[in-house]
Amino acid sequence: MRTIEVSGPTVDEAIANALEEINLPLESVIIQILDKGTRGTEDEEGTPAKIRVSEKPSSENGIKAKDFLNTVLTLMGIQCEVTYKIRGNTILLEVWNVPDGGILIGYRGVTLNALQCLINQYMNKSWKPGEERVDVEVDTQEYRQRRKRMLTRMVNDAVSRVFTTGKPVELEPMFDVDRKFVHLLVRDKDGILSISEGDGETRHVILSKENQEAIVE
Amino acid sequence: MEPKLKELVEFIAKSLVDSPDEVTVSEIDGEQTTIFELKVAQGDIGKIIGKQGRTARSIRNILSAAAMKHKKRAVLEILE
Repeated sequence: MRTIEVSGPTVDEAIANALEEINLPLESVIIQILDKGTRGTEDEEGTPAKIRVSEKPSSENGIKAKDFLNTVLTLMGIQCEVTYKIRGNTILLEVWNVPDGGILIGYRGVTLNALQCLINQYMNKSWKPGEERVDVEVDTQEYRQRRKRMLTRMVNDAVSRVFTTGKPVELEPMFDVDRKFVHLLVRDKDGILSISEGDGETRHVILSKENQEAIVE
Repeated sequence: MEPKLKELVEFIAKSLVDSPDEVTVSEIDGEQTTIFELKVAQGDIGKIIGKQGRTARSIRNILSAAAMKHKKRAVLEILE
C-alpha cells in the first residue's frame, strides 16, 4: 500500500495534488489532515496545509486474503463460508456456518490468532520499509467483540483494585492481540500505567499506579 | 470433510516463502502421532520461523487444530 505526504496552499489543493501524484481517484484513498495550514494576512505569510494520503485496501486484496483463508480452512477439513469487508485500513474476514465453531477459535483464540498471523504475513510478503502494511483481522461468531468485552471488564476490575490497594495487579498471560487491546484501554485511564512482562507463554500485562515501580511481590 | 494435513503445511509454507518450488513436506506416520518434516530453501527459513518463532508457532497451532478434529496428533518439524 502506498502512502504519500503532500502539502498545498489549502487542504483542498493539497488533496488535488496528492491524487494526481498517487494517480488514484478520491474514493480509493484515505486522507489524513496533518496540518490545516493558515491563511496569510497582509503582513504575514500563511503556512501550507499538509496531508497524508494512503491507498485504501483494495477489493483485490480483500479477495486475495479471502481466498487464502478459504484454502487453509478447506485443507483443515472445516467446511464454511468466508466473506470480507473493508473497514478503514483493515480488511475484515468473517467465517460463517462453521459446524464446530470452537475448533476455529481454540483456547483463548489461539487458532483464530494463528490464522490471522499467517494471513497478515502472507499479505505483507512483498512489504518494504516505508510502505503501509496491509492489516487483516479474522473473526467468527463475533468472537473478537466478545473477547474485547471480557477484557474490558477484566481491566476495569484490575484498575479499581490498583486504586483501592495501591499495589500493582498482574493480569493472566495473554496473546499479543489481547495485550495490545489492554494497553490501548489503559492508555485512556488516568493515573494507571501498563507494561508487559515475561516471555512467550507467560507474557502478561501488569497494571500499576503511575509514578510507582511495577514490582510485584 | 477430511483434513489434508500434508497439503495444509505445504500450502501455508509455499504462500510465505520466496522460493515455493523448494518447499517439500514429508509425512512420517506413527501410531498416534504423525510427524511432518518441512524443508524450505536456505534463505526462506526465517520467513517460516518468523519473529520470535511466531510464524512457526502459528503453523503448528493450525496443524494441531486440524489434526485434533480427527482425534489425532500432528507434530511439525522444520529442517535446517
